[in-house]
Amino acid sequence: MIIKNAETILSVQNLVASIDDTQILKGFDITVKAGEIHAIMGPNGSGKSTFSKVLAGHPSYTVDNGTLEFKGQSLMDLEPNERAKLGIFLGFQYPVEVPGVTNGSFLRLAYNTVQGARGKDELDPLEFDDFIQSKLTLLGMDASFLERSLNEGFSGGEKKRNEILQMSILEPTLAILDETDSGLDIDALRVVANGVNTLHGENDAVVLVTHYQRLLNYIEPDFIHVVDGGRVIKTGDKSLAHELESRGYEWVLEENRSRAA
Amino acid sequence: MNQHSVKFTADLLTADSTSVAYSTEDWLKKYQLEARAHLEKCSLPTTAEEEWRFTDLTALYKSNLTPPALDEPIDASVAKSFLIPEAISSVVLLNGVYSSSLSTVSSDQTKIRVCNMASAMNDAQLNASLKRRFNSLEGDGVSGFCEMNTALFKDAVVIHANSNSSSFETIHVLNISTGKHTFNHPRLLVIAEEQAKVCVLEDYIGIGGFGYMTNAVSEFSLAAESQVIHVKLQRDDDSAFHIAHTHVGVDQSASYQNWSVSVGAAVSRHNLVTRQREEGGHIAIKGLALGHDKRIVDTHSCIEHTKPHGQSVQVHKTIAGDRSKVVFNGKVKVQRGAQQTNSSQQNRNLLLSARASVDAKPELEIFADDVKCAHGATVGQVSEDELFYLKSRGLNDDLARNLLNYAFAREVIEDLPIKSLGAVIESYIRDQTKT
Ligand SMILES: Nc1ncnc2c1ncn2[C@@H]1O[C@H](COP(=O)(O)OP(=O)(O)OP(=O)(O)O)[C@@H](O)[C@H]1O
Ligand SMILES: [Mg+2]
Repeated sequence: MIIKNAETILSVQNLVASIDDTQILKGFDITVKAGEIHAIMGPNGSGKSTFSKVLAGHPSYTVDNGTLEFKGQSLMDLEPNERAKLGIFLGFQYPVEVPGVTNGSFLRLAYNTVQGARGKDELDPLEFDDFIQSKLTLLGMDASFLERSLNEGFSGGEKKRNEILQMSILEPTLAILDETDSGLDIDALRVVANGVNTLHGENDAVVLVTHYQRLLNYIEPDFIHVVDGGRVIKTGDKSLAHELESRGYEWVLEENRSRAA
Repeated sequence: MNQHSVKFTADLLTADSTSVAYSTEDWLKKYQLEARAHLEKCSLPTTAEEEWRFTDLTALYKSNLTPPALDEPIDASVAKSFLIPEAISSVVLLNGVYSSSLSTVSSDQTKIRVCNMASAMNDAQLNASLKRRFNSLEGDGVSGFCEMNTALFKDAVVIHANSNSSSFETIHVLNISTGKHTFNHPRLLVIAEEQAKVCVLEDYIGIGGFGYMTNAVSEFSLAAESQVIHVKLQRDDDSAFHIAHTHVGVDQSASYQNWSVSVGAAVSRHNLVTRQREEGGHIAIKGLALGHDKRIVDTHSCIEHTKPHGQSVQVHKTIAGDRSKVVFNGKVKVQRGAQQTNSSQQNRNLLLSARASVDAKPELEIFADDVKCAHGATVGQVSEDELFYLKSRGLNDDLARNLLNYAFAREVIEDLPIKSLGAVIESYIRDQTKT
């Protein structure tokens, strides 16, 4: 929802970032306000995941230029965990498998660190078990997932549900979900979308990175951004997604090229 | 020959020249005198020997060690805090000497007999059994330290599991060192009769001790169809030298399961030699060695299959941090007659620091043609992606690294049959892998 005079949650201006001396983001701009849902679309390799990871503070990327602010505070010098405590959540395109770390105890540690930093009581294992039950139900996940190693051997869709489970317990102010819809079956897509909608309110914001209009039928975006070559080249409302779905990207890229020329 | 080693050997032998412990028993006296005579000629190993190439003992050989005082005071509550709830009997050795005030031995000795060497030798039957099994050391993995132990040990713990011991009762053998620059030669003998079952925790700690040397020898003899669980926990003081030789003989269809965890000492060396002596024995070894600070931690294992249908599974993991040196040499020998042996060895090393080093060497010597032997060794670092993932959920760097280090070691310790040790070992991992 677009709310008048809402607080700016994320402000990114002219962000330039590189990895292994290759510049990937080349002047990325986006502004996200409280209550809003944004969708980022764009061809493979255009820099969507790079933007998400830079936002979350992945150490392999260096920021060469531009500003990256969360609620007016620069994120540049903050570690990923500090960003998480501020309320930034990245749903990974490829959630990492961590053998040997139990999902349940990891979730509890994450909860206690992030929510503890906000003044909530830390939960012991028993209390946490109670707390997480309703979240599992919301996402149609079996409690046995808590006993397993974090993401290890999870199917593609199970990993994505596990990301949303993490989001649901961490209650971020800004969630950036990188292709959370990819690999989900139709029912799971509905479940996950429903989860996101339930968690979203007027004080937080969601950024969805997606290739498919289908997700946007369930989670209605206020803005759609098209990324190419490490920059946002077009921004529109949700009708843009329909247009992209039927016409592809080429016309946007062409429009952009002629503007540049 | 290395002058430091020669002098050190001679000093130790003279410092304790009166310690031929059991001169009343000729068979033992013979071993002790032979060992002493051999040592006088050969002295202790140095890095000039291939087998000891990575274990630099110069610091040990240069240190002036004395025999421990016999009346060193100790805070009983501190000592007892190391005991485990699972043990039916706890044998506490204070600087190598049995402490009756700290030990609690089960009153039922009909299934598993736990005693010291002297009382074992007073029992005619046990004495005969000891005579047959004591000093089974030969071949691979034997060194001058074994002879040093045989010549100088003060007392030995004897655990004798009868055939009627049908559940895995746990015996805790806790070796406490309190001495400063002292030496100590603990000896353990475990005998499992046919079909016997027993679980032994061999445990080394220092309480107030500093710069001391533990030179341990443990012998395990498993009769047909017996099952022995052996957990060796080396948590000697960070300034100590820990040298240990474990020799295991496995008879027909017997099963030996070992967990060896090294989280202590400045320099440690464990020679673990297991020999499948008859058909169908089963050997399972899980090892975990933590290198931190400037520690040298060296594990040399040898699994020898001499008869058909033997099985062995070994997983050895190490974590090398700071400026530590971690060494693993895993030999698997399959003798000519040992057809249909099934053996696997896996060695994984986690390198936490650029200044730490890992020397990993699997050694297969296979003389039979119909065998299955798999082995692999890897050296890796903490995955940046795993670390980022955990941190992106709020976990700080230390905590995230800790989780990953523990996760790495977990495979070795999660199925420890002595459950209370899980948390103990976890906290050693946490403390020693801090950045
Ligand atoms: N280490 C690297 N060195 C050089 N180029 C890299 C490196 N890592 C990623 N890239 C490149 O960065 C570009 C952007 O990748 P990114 O993952 O951000 O794309 P994306 O928009 O998320 O694509 P997709 O839709 O396929 O997920 C790609 O061309 C990729 O090959
Ligand atoms: Mg991507």
